[in-house]
Order: sequence, then structure tokens, then C-alpha cells
Amino acid sequence: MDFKLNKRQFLITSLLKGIILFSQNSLGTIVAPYKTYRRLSTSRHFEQLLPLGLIVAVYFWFSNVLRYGLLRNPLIMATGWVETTTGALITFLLVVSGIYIGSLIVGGKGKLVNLFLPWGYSLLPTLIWFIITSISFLLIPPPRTTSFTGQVFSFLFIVGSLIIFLWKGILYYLTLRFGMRLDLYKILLVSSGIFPAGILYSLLMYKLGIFRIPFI
Amino acid sequence: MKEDPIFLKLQDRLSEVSVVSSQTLGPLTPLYKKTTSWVKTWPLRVLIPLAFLAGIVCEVILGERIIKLVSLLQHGF
Repeated sequence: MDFKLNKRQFLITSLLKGIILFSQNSLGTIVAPYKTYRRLSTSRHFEQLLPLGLIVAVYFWFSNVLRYGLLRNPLIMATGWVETTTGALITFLLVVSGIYIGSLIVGGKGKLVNLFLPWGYSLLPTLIWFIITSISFLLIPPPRTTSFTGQVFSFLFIVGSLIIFLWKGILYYLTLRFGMRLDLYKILLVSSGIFPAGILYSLLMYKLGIFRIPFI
Repeated sequence: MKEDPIFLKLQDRLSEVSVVSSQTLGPLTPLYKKTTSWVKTWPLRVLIPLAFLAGIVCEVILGERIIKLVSLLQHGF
């Protein structure tokens, strides 16, 4: 039986496939990151980045509403949304390019397309941290005090941030390991170049007023 | 044999596993293998206690400055 999809049907099935793959692989980055990233580095199903992109865009809308207010400053809020979303996209492309170029210099054997999916999923810890921080800002606005509850919250916030940071570190390592086929020594070598560049980029983003903490 | 689905699946699996060569670190290889075995599946079971310990160390080192740090980080989004 010959079954052909028209353009609209193809788009809908691609989106559905993307959502299913995104759900599976997001859980995979928590449950079995090694196996998931090994699969992602050779996968060419880029439609699974669409749900992630949508969540990021919605999050930035929420964070700009929180910062500037929907009714108070709608133009500034909209401009902020465009800036942060574009900034996140440019940051993503710059980081992927930086990892690719740095890896080629040390003898990495992967292709640029091998990095898109692994690095895309590496944004999950970043997104989760930003969401938690925004919600905590909304529910328990800073500054924190030296009271018992202030100290407990501060401790839990630091512990939560460290868990997310270490998870991100694992996903970064797996991106280079499977995306560019690097070993540990070469990963450390590439990182010694990428991290200072990342810090300078973060300072630039801060000075431009786009991100206080970069969405890397 | 070549059309056997189990054989084909095995072939795919072996190709997937051999995407990168095995990591060796000389005399540190057993330690590396042991460490990575903990984080290959459910890394959170290692990350949560590790982060908790690191949090206690930060609390001891930074003291009340941790509160200022958290107030700063809360503005970071």
C-alpha cells in the first residue's frame, strides 16, 4: 500500500516525532546519559530540538514578564523577549562552533552536525536552573536574610544549583566525547581554551544587558 | 544469517558501542572506569550526595556570605 503524506501531514508527523523523541531523550539524559548521548551524536532527527526551542522561547517570555511586567512595560517586555531569545540562539551556535573548532585543533574526528543534538540537550540543566531561579524570585523575592529560613533556603539553593551544574558538566563531557570522538586529555585541552572564551562572552552579554548569567 | 533480525540488531548495537574507542588513563584507568560506571546510569544518585557535601563545604568556607551569593544568584535569570 503506497501511503504518501502531503506537506501539512508531513509537518505534523515531524512535530509529533520530535515531541516523542524529545520526551524520551530528555528522560534519557537523567536516567542513562551515556547511552543517550551515544545515540544522539549519530542521530539526524533534528526535529526533536523544536519542542526544546519552543520551551526556551516560552520561558524567556515568562522571565521578561516577570522582570518588566506585561501591562506596565509591554514594549520593553517584547524587546527583552526578542533580545534574550536571539541571544540564546546565537550563544548556542557560537558554543557549538567553538567546540567544533577547538576539537578539530586537537585532532577530533566528528562532524559539526554531531554536536547539535548533544549540545541542545545540554541546555536542559541550564533551562531547569533558570526556571527554578525565576520561580523562586517570584515566590520568595531576594534579598535573603540571616534568619533560620533564609539560611536553609540559601543552602538548598546552592545544593540544587550544584546538582544542576554537575549534571551539566557530565553532559558537556559526553558532548565532546561522542560528538567529536575526543578522549579525556583532549577534552581537558579543548576546555582550557573554551572556558576562558566563555567567561569573556558572558561578560559581554552582561555588559550588553542581555543575560546576567549566560544561557549556555 | 545476514537477514536475521537479531543478528542485524546485534550488528547495530556493536556499531553503536564502538563509536568511540575505550578510554585509557594508564595506571588511573581502573579508577576512571569505576568513577564513570557510577555516572553512566542514574548519575543523580551520586550527584545529590556530592552536591550536599559540597554545599556543606561552601557553608563552612563562606559562612554568611552564602546568603549574599544566593541573593545575587536569584537575580541571575
